[in-house]
Amino acid sequence: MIVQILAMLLFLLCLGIILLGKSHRTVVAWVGAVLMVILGKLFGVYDETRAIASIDFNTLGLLLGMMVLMALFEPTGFIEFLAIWVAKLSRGRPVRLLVLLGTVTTIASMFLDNVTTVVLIAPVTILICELVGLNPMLFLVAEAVLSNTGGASTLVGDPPNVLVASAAGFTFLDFLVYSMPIIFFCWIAALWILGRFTRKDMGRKARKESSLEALNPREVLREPLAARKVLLVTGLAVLIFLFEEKLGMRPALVALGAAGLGLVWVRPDLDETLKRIPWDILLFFTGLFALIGGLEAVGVMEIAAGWIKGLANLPVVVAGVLMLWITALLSAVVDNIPITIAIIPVLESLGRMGMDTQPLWWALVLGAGLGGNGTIIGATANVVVSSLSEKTRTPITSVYWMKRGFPVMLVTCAVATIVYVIGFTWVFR
Amino acid sequence: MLVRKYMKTHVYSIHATQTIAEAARLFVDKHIGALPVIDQDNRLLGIVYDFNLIEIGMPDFTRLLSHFEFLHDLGALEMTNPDAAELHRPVAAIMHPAVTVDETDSILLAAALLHKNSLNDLPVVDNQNRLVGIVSHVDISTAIMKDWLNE
Repeated sequence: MIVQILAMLLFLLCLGIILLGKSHRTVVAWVGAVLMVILGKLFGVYDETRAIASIDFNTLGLLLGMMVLMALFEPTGFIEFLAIWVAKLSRGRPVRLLVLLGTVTTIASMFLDNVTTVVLIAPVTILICELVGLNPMLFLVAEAVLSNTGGASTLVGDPPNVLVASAAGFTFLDFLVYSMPIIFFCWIAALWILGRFTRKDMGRKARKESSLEALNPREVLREPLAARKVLLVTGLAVLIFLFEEKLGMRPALVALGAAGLGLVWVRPDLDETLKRIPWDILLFFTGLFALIGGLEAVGVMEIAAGWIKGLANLPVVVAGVLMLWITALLSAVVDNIPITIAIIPVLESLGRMGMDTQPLWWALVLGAGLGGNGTIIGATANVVVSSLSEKTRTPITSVYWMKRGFPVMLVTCAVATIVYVIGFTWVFR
Repeated sequence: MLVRKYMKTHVYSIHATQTIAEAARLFVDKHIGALPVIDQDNRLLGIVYDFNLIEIGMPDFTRLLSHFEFLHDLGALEMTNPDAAELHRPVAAIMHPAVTVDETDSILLAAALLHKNSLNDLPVVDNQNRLVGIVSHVDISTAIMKDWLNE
């Protein structure tokens, strides 16, 4: 019993340190995993071999493969090209510009992670806004929000999805069937409300439209050939992801294969490419898997399951709605990755008690993805756009985010709830 | 070859409490690119380069985008002229710590410092950190090349 309590305390301590932001989460997971192995060895219940066995290399391979593709894609200037192209299409009309830039952001964040997406599109958005004489604040908030929303729709869109897919055994296709349709409605709702805000703040008129005419999107595309190659390789990977079960291929093989093909075909400067890979996320996941493996090995999950038995008696859709809102409200105030980590063992325990947890996993994905929109610190993409805006004349404040981002979170979560209830009561049954 | 021999000893400088507008006046009237900032004892506090002033009116995107060669026509993007309040801030608000050379330093050191920091002018100080001169990259590089040509 002592070892279970110690393991649980260690896990909660790690979670607490990550939530408080006192130390980098990668360092916490790293040290936590080492302590868990030492603890397990002292009591003879967990060791190095079992720790390595609990690392999900399929997930790591998938992440690494997608990160390499991303690193090849970033310097091509393709996202900037799309942004300038749609800005010209908008003729400087604020609502049209917001919808078009928002669409580019959402589509990009389905394949790129949310932070990379906003890092690429936010600076060029500020440029476009300065050219046409608009305040970029609302556009930046919209891009972070729509990137978080789009990220929730695919397996590779956001790290929490990868964690859920690993724990629940979901495939790329599962995300397209369950998550993407629900997110689609949320996305429409988000665009609608952001469009209303735009009209209220900036009116409908075209501003200095003429300044956009001189721009040639083709000149923004720095490496057209490389962009084409990476897009083809990524498209191929997505196609294979759809049929991975029929082909008997694991996602890691597909992603690493596509990344390998990309490296061979594009022939980039390898050092530069590897520098753009967020290694901290890979190391964080590695440590985390070893840490959670320890929890499972010492039997903490069974104890936790006893505490939440009551949940198993709820109708699954009710439990799902509860899960969606709890996750959303929590991830509005803290990063969604630790929230997901904390909830995964709960859902696994419920699953072991015989509950049909599949709808609950989707509720977790939706809540973690949409909840982050609520506050300026709710998601990393939000933090990134607001720190970029601090370098402009109109920095985004947390009060501004409450006025413009929080309503989007409420509306999208409400829409998600409605579609979720309909979906898991009739459509997906 | 010591810096002392090649520096200009007549230096335009500004006091830390003077305004950005007064600095701009000096840059324009004297047609210079760098203005050492001093205290009342002639001690060097920092330096403002012409581009530190220009930066105030630069569009935001220039600080955020690494590539904007595609903007051939910046005509529509008029520079936002800084307002009166901005121009009446003290130069101390925008000055930078100065890269300096000692008057007894070698001009090769001065050349290397200019190159490494992508600067055009270096203030010269004595051992009390008092401003005694200024050398430009032209002063130094022509001195070195003259030596090659044995002039």
